[in-house]
Amino acid sequence: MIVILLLVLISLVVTGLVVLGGQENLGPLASVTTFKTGEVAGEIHKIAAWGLVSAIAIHLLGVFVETRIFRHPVLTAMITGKKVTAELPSDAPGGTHTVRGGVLFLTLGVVLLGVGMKLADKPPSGWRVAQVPVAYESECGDCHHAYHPSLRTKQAWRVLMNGLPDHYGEDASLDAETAKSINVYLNGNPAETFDTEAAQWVGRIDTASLRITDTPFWKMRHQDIGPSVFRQKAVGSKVNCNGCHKDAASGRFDDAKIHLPSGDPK
Amino acid sequence: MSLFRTVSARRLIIFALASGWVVLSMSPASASQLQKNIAGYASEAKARDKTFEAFSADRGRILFSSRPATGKPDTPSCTSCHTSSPTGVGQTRAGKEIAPLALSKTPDRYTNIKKVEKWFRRNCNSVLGRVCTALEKGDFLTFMIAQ
Repeated sequence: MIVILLLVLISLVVTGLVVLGGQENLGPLASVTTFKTGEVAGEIHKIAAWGLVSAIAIHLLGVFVETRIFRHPVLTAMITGKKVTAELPSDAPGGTHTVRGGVLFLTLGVVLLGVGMKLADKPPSGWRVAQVPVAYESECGDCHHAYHPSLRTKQAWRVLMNGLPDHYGEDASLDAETAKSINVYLNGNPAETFDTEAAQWVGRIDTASLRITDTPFWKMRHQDIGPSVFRQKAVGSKVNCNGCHKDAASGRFDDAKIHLPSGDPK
Repeated sequence: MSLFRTVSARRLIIFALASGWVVLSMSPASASQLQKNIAGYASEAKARDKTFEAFSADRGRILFSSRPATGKPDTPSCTSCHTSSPTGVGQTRAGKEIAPLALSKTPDRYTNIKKVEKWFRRNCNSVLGRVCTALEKGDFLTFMIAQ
């Protein structure tokens, strides 16, 4: 029983780390897991979680049977390392196991933590720093948040750049030289070249309007956020990702970097 | 010649060069650049219309406050985004802040002619549905400088 419990627990932790590394690009496995691996691990993680719940239930039932029916002092043995039963005399050796086990687990824990932290420092897979050209920051960023290129596909960026004279109801035309430098940046860093959650579920999904906010995933994730939040001064509108996603400019979109602004809607 | 080799003469030359540099860098380069930009529009306006005399802040104000609605439907007037006051902080339709148009509030405005031309090109098309004339651009700048 204990072995099953520990195995389930280990698989839960490992798959959890794979999900974290693959889908969120965080934790010790971020540098080695792809988004797809993370998705598959997520399914196993769900099964393991239910497995753990069942194992706990069976385990507790076993404790109940041992202590109440057979009257074995299993609970005190957990702490003292000594199990006093009819078969074993009360002065049988046991203390050494406790110490040895404790040292072993502590050492293992420290080693794992150290290795994990070292691994977590490595750059995550499927993401890189895209050097933003000044023209992109100033030209696109004059009117709205300068979107990370991984949020649209190469094809979508091309259509968008060709349609700048009528850009969502405004003339946002650029001179040829500036447009060229921006095109180089967008062509080199579209959603196809990133393996992040944002690139996979938003960037690679083309919409007729080309809008990021028209992707099903975007809508699903923002459905509980009322219009008053988007109207707040710190946000402006739903197209300003960085109003809440403090790391939007990097294309990471970590859950931990979301900060809804406080204050009254404008 | 020996005069320039003496230490005091060298000092004098260095002092003269340094003070010249200080005076030059203190002169409002941005202001003169702005005047140059307006002069450029003035000669353009003159070339188009021989009777042109000077830009008018009043005509600029009327252009800014009018509601032509001949461009794109979402931007019927300058004031749609820039607020009805030149000193007001505007907002793009995407929600980003726009620094006030008045020169007194945003002193570094209108000095980069490429940038000035870009925004006239875009916004005249968005609001008026056509390009602006040199007269309109000059009037507009003259009005904003006076604010």
